[in-house]
Amino acid sequence: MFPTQDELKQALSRREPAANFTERLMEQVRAEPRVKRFPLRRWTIVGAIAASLTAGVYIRQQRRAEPPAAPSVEAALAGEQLFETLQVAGWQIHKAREAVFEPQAEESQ
Amino acid sequence: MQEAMETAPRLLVDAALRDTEAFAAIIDRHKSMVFSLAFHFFHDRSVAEDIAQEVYLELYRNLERIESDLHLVYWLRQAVTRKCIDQTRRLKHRRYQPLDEITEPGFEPPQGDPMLAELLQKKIATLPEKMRLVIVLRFQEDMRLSEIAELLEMPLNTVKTTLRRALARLKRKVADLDLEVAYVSNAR
Repeated sequence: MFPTQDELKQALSRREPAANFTERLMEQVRAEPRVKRFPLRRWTIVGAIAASLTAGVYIRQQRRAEPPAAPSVEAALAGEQLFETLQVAGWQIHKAREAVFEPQAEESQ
Repeated sequence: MQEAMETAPRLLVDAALRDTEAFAAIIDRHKSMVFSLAFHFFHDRSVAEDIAQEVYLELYRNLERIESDLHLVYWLRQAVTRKCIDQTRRLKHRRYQPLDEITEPGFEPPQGDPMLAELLQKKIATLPEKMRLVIVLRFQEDMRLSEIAELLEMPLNTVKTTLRRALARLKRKVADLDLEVAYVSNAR
């Protein structure tokens, strides 16, 4: 005798658990501690802060260790322009001072 | 039957929001599948109910991960098969002796020849665990071999071989029993 597919299907047909299965299970479900929806949120924040601090310290150390960088071309040009502007401004002040004080000197003589 | 098994997406959403009534409705829709998989694996109602409860509690903790009805059925089947394998290992460790089948309220004997069905269930429960799983998923859940392969994370050819060997073993076990029965009747 060999069981046919139908006999196997009948033997393995679905059964129902005990009548109060759902009730008993729901009691356990209600007793379950409330699941935290985002349990990783706190650790994510802590991780992000730690990573920022580490990165900050690392960048600061790197800057201290590096020699001061040579000024860029733009910075050099800006410096020159500033110097020329100051020279022109100084010359103009000098001329204005002469215009104010020299006539007074001539009058006193 | 497949249609009746399907869970309304609304139920899943409500259950994920910790609506206990919605979760109870999900349990009711799938409890016979979950319980029967474990029952046919162990041929023990008490162990099967414990496993079904564990599976549902695990589901309750992971409801947010369930994407659809089909995903729910797949998840439940996979969870039961894993729990069955884990339980087998635990029971082996404890030198487990299965209890006799006790008829309880809610127990529905299979249609057809109940003696043959009972005999087959007992013989199936003595097969090695992978063979048992393949046979139960194939004949209880009517799953295709490719679906079983995916669920059990086994190559398709391995599933085919396992099913063939399981059926051959079952045939030998039933034939041995026939011989025993014939011997006893002749002796009388």
